[in-house]
Amino acid sequence: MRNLLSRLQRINPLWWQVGLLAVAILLPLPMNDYLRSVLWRTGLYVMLGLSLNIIVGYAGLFQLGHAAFYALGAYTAALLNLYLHVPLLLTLPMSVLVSAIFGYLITRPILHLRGDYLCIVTIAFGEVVRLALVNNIFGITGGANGLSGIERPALFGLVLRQPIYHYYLMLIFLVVSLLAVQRLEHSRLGRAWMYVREDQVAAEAMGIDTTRVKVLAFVIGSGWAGLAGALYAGRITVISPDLSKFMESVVMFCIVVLGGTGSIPGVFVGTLGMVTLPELSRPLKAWRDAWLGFAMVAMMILRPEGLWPSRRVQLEIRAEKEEEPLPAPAAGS
Amino acid sequence: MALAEIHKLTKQFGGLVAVDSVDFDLNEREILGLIGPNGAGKTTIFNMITGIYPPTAGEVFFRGQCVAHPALTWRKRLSTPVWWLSWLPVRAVKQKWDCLRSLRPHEITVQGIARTFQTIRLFNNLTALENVMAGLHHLTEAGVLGALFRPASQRQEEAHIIAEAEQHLAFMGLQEYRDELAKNLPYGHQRRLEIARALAAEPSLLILDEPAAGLNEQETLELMALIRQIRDSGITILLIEHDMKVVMGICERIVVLDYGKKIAEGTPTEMQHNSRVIEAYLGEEEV
Repeated sequence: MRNLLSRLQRINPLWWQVGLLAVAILLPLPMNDYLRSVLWRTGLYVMLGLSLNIIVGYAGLFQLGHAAFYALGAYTAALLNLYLHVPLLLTLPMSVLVSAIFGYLITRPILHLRGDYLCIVTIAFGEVVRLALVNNIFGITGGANGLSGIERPALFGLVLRQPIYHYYLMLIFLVVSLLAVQRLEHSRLGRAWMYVREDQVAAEAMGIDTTRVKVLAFVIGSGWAGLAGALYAGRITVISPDLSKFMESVVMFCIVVLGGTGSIPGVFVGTLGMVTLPELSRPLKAWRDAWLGFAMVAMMILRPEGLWPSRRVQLEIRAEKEEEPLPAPAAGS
Repeated sequence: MALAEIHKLTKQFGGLVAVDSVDFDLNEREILGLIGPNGAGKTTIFNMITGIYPPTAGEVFFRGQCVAHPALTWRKRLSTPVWWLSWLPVRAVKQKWDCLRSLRPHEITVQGIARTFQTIRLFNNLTALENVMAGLHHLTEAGVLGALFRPASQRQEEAHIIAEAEQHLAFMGLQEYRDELAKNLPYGHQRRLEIARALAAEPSLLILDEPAAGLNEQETLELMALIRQIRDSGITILLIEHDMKVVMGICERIVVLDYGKKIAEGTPTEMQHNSRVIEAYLGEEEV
């Protein structure tokens, strides 16, 4: 098994990337519309998972209110479309921008918080957004019923009605997201995120502006979630404040953590477990919350690093069991 | 002019005065040792110089610029006209404001002060090379767009970062551990890796917090040679050390602290015969 894996790793990554893309393109063709919608939903959550992975996985910041930015993106697209009649695909940049700006405004004052404290504030923020939407803020968000009648996106006169078109639209954005996330990970900024995650004090002492780096993680991650939200609005055409409910944030967080924090394949595995499987088997969906709790407990015991962890996180968590601790330095002042 | 001046530096933690009005100067290209019994406030001074926490009173000047300064209260900020204007992109205002506030740790590193830590603080799960690359962060500038579109300038910069980092690794004799995870390195190598990382930030003042702690005889000798070599390349060194062999062997000047106060300053031989220093280390002689 290990032998096979190492041989697979030696194949030029381009081959399996092209192969996976071909599978992704061909996969929906023999399916019915229901399965195609499930595929679309999988793509949506992979994208949300990737965006949250920047914040949780790369920069190591706990964000349990990510759905708020998803909802903000969806509402921005819907409002622009309904009130100003902007074609849906043109609202995408605005959705990204609005979510990113909110990401900045909200996280900037709380960035000095760490770990669980940050986590609590982000939960509160998610609830604030949901309640603001429920209470029909500025009289334009439609209250608890949300907004409906959003136009479907159209591309060169082709109105995207069939699930399969939406799937391909999602696929395009997903491929772009994947490329972007991968490039971010292997860049100066990506390294800065790792440094901050590993040891913030040392990162600061090495001349890294930790505030700026963390803000960037939040802004990019939030903006990306906004994009996913806008795509959701175009596909479902009805949106409600439920988009920002706590459970949505939890699902996104679980996608990242169950799959393996900081790992791109992990996001796919996490989405399969958290979204696709429950969707495919209805009884499981009804039990999803229970299954989620069970899965979390089991994972923490059996595979704390996630199902498909990134190399580093695996090292981080597994190493403690295998290695002897380093000799302690001499005590000093 | 001195490279750095520590002026009446004081730090209070609640009722405890950890550092009490300490003054000393650092001259260009010297190796200055800061010694004293445990709890004398040595590391606290380092933490104030590098901006980890602000002093209660006193300042640190580096190349004539104030880098550490007591934190401003909100009342003081509001009554300072420069604070109101500090968001303006005007250089004169920025400079004025920089004199009033204390710089944050990363800004101090940018000014040219790099440090190592008493308890090693490497990025454990990153490779030795990646650790050293951290030091080059503030000397390079690719941002989000550079990462996403990878223009030629960004690729050149990445190659430059790697080449530089490799040089620093080689200087500390760690080139063969390039792709080894930091935490898998032997303890002595970790200490040296931390120095390599600090050197990569191209400081003019290098602050070493007990660089020889936990090293064996041989490693200590190598370290002393390396520190001299670093000084010869034009970097001023300030170090805390408990190993008197190291302190007496490489320091040109020594500042001795006890209970947060400076009790003596001078050459190693002077310190060996200074009655107050002996008293601080061995206790008062009973008559």
